[in-house]
Amino acid sequence: MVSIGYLYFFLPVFMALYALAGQKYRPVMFLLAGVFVVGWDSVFSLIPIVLSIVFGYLSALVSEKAPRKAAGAFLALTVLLNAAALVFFSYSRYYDTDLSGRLTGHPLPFSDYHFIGAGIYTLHSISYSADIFMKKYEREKSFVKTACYIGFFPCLICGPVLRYDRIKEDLAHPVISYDRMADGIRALVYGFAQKLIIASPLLTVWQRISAVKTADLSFASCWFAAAAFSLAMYFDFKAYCDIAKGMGLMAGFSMPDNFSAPFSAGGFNELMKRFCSTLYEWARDYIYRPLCPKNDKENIHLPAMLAASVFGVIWFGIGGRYFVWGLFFLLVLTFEYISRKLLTKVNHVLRSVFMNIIFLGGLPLAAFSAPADALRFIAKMFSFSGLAGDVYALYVVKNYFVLYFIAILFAFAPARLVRTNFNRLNPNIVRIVQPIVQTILLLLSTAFLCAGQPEGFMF
Amino acid sequence: MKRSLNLISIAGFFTIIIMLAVSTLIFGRDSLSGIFSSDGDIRVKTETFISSSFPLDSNWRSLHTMIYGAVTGETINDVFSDEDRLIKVYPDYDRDRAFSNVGLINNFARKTDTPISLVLAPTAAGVYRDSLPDYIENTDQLGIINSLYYKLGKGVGSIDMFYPLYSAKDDYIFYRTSDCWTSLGAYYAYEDMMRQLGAQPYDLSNYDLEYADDSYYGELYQQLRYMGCEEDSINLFRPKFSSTVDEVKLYRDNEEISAASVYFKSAFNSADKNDVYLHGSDYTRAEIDTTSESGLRLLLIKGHYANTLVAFLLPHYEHITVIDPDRLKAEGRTLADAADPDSYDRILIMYDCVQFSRTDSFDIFNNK
Repeated sequence: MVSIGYLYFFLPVFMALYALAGQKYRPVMFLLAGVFVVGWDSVFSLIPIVLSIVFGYLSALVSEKAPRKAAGAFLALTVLLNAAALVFFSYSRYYDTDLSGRLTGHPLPFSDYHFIGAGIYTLHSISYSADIFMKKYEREKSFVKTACYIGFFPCLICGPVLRYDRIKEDLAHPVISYDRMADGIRALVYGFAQKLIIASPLLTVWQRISAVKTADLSFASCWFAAAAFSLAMYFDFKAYCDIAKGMGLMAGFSMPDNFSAPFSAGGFNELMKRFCSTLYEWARDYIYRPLCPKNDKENIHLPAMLAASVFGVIWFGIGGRYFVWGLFFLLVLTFEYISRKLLTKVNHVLRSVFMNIIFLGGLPLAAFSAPADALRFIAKMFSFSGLAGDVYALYVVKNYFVLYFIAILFAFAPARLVRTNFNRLNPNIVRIVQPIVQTILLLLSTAFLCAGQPEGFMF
Repeated sequence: MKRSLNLISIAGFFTIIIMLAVSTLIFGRDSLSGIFSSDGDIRVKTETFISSSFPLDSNWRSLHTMIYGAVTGETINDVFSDEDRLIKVYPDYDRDRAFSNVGLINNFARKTDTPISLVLAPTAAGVYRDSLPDYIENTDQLGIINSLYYKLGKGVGSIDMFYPLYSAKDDYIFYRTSDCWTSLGAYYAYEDMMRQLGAQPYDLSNYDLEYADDSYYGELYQQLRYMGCEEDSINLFRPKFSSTVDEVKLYRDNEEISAASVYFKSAFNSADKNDVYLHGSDYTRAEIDTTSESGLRLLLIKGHYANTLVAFLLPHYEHITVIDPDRLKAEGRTLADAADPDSYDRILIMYDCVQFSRTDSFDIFNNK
């Protein structure tokens, strides 16, 4: 999705055909574009998504027409099938995140293929089927529109996770407006810039430092590296979500925000709400809440939280590192829950600082494939030693100070506050500056793409 | 106002997108019809077409290098932009293949009585290793060369190229924009090599320097379009008193060309001007008759670094056969098909240490 081909060829051709198609045929055009995007990498990628769509559609149909028991059984089948697709196909391309590879030592025959979107369309299919079964809203009669929603192609890399009831109006009447188009272009260009100018170079810092023997590093280098990994991960996810949002807006769909300054959160629960918030909401609505006692929706229930956390782990991948990281999250969430009364008395900024320190301290568990390497790295982080003669810390400060500064500014709330206040002062100045910034970022992104900056999703 | 600015925003975006897309399709380097040819994966062909035909390629690269490479001090495609030069670094080194090549040379030495010497030159990343920041991964070329020499068998001598170049590193011995040595670098290498072989090298004062081209941009510049370093000049060393070449014959496949010099100035109009030396690596074999009356015959088995050095060897040998193993292997032939090793007085195997670890062509030493 982040490539010259997508930006300069797929996008204008799709938008031209989509605009010419008129409201009636736009869903068909959107669906065809999705088939093209998914099938471009490999036609085999189309098999699970087609199954997920068909089962989602049939489950809704059965829920409406068949007796409750049969509908429940079909819903269970749909959920199972999608869960299997999520487990086997999401991140299946990467050996250490392939379930079969983990269990048997042999990757599945199809693990060479990139099953794009398995982490998203499965969630769409499950939420849609479950909502219709629960009679939250009426089913979509048109197969094409159902397919458009479940396989919503701009979101297939890493979200946001959509809800049918929130986009059904736009699906029924996809209107291309100047305002949405301009907002969409902006989001798209900002997405490309975040990916290419911020996320990829920061990942280079992590790769360079983490490749060095931990014994040769100082605690400062380790903290710089962990911060680089954290920021690279955030901007990579956010970039793809912004690109998805941009494409959606350009095509006439209102799209949810998936990130809300997560590192400004005052705790881990809040961090999860702010980081991939649509995924958090999905886990809350379709895993956590159904597992909570019916008459107690107010308090937090650890078994349900455990189930939702396991889901979060599987969503990010099946590899051992994600299980360890998931366990780490579970521990801190449990601790946070137990000490919640005490924590409410602590100042938000202080809580946020502690949260970030603990988050960075645990991040190597997700970054290293071997837990022993991660533990050595974490031990070094908290050893506060080895600063004398550390070339890597100096390297980061000397070469990446500006990039860290920009990344931190945009990742934390201050950039948002500045933008909001600036908007309040004089919105017209912002509107004049925006097209200029947008053009500069588009040209810079093109330069980075032409120079061969990594294009794929990195996490 | 909001609507007008939104319109400007949309128009500006699509104007840039469509202009560049249309330029790619109409003015691109490759033909669009190639995508629809029956051979190969259409996805790969499309991506190749786009990357090769996208307009202003050099400008985009230059902008990227200026912003990313210069600001962060990082390597781009393993090329480090120092203050006034580009240095190709080699984070990975195929030690297994390099040692396997040494083994093949040792086997070859057992089959012939002609003395063999292995000459491994460092690249710029080896000579200018002190200029590279500590955080940049780079192969220890001196260590590699020494360990490879250590594995050489009885019949193979080794010639040190590292210290002659390292001690002259402040001179113009490597191009600023290419990973190859200059003719002066090659001269220093020759001078020391001849001494190690027990011969007297010709002094620089015996040569006139011809400034053949002063606007050479090497392959590293082509990759990065780094504006921070000046263009290079290609200088040719010509003997002061008389030509040392009788005739040069170059062979590849079934083609043969003759010339009166080892310098081919037609290369100044080609993609790589550095091919001026013995036509680069375009030919499989060169047979050079010289005016030398030494009566000595040299078989030079070489990588691309040796091309620049050949001119200095001419006064020492009456006949020089130059073999490019990669091309010879590609033609499906062995060394025995191209030359008889026993008919020479000396065999030199000359590579830069990086190419030596990448070539898999030393099985040409085995007869079919």
